[in-house]
Amino acid sequence: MRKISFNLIAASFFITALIFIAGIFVGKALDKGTVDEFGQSVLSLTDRVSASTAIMLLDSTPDMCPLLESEQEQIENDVNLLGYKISFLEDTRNIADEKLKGKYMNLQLNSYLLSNKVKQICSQNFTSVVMFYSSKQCTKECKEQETELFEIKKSGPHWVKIYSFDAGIGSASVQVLANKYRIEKYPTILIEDKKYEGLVGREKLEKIIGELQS
Amino acid sequence: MAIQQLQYAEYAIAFVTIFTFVFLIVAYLNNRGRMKEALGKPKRLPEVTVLVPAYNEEEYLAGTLKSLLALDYPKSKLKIVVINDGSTDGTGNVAAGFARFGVGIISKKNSGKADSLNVGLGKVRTELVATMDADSYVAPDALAKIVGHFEDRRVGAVASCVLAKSSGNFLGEIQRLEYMFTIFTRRILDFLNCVTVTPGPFSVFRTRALKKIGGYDPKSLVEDQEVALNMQQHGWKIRTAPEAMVYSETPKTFQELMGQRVRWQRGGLYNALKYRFLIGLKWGDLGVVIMPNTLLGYLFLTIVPIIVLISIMTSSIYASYLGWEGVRLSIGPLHIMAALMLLAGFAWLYYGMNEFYENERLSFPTVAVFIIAYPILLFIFWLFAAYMEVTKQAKSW
Repeated sequence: MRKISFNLIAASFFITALIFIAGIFVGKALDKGTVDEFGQSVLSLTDRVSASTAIMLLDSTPDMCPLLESEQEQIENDVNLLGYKISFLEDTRNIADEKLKGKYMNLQLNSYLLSNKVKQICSQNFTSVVMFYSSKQCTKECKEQETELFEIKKSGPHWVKIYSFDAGIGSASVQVLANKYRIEKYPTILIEDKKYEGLVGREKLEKIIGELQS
Repeated sequence: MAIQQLQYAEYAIAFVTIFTFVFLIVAYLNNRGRMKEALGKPKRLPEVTVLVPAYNEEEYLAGTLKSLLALDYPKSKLKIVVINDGSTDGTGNVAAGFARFGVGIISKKNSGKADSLNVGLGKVRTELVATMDADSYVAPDALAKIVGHFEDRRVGAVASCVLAKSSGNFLGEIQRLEYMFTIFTRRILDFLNCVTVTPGPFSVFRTRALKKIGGYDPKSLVEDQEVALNMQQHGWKIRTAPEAMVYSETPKTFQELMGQRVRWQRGGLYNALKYRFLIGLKWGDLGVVIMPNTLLGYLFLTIVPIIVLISIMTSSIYASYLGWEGVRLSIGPLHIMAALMLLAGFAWLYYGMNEFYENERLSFPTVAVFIIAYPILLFIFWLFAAYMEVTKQAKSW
């Protein structure tokens, strides 16, 4: 039997384990920092939504539209960007922070409600596409639906606004919205209060949206 | 779930890769003082036959033979034999021009390098036999510095230090560094009795040992690795001679390099599979670390591009929204580990190689570029090699 350098192997194993632990430790710390940073963004955006809602409650005349519309557009852009970041972490890094996601869902719901209210006050002409999915019950189909909506968002007209709510996250307000529309199957899409259950392809979605605008 | 399974695979690959790096670094540190240890003057100079298989090497053969004739070794103890493997150019004429200097010539139909070497080996009667590529040049004192190793009866082969004749361009520089890196790591493996290549440009064998193991395997595209593994299997020691320098021509264009490396990769895979039984405790460090790592290396070279492709596909839908922010968010534990490993690897190569090669200073950026560019090139070559293996394309030397 030939010589095995046990000491060398043990030392190498030990150092490798140290590098591995250091990597995991530092990496997880960075991930936590990112999740905390996103949490702060949610709080800051929630404040802005509250401020806009307060303005609307104080004065809901069309005179306020320039201010409301500008603020609402900025909020929506920031909420969307934050949503992409959270989804990116979930899809590519498998980092899913339930608490952060729950807060984000509430923020997105508030943004959606604000947007609908501004639409009424300022007679805006846009189409809302709301997707309900469940990260607990539906994975492949919901992911496919999300990708289809992503593509529409990327290349579609600016008057389409897309919101996606995870009903499996345990957010009470999202649950209320889901109950309101009797959502029982995932994914389900609401386009201007009309419900489409199951996966809806891109072509069909574009057709429905196009018809609504014309 | 798929992303989670992917992460497990990534962590497993990372652990094995880091372990291999660390193992080499620790082995280096353990033997640092002996890296340049040279043998003293040999007690005697045994008879040596140098076999030079040549296939269409008219451009370089004369230089190779001149360097052999200039060896600082008693002429009465040195035989040089060119094996013309059915060359279609002027190789035969070049060899014939050296007949007046005592160079022997064997002419045969083309049958590949390994078979040519076997034909030559069948006629060798000297105690030692050296094999030399027909596009390499041996330093005058190389052979004399090698033969002393055979005073140890357990030594079956000795590998020389093959340096690349750099063409000065980027590819030439990468290859020059690669050859230096190979010598450096092979020297470390020597201390563990784990040398798995007796380089084609110039290696010396105990004739009895080489004949006993059956010579070269004509099916292998990388016969110098196959023969070394065969030696290991039969319990012969393979040593390296850090002071025996040999210079080899290297591919000048990317296409030539690709052809050579695809051949090496395919041959390497064949050898690794053929000698997979060398994995196990009874083979010592070779069976516990080096051979498992070689086989896993091929597996990783296959899996990593798939993982990268999946990651790119998953990230791509976010790319237009997140831009560079996406890069920042991508950084996780694996990147930290990779960074630590790269830093350690860089320090090891930069300081270790500069200490080992006193006359060839390596600059900071050169080593950095090598560390980044070389693995990428390896992946490219392997993808082509794997494609050729899967599509069962013909093998030739």
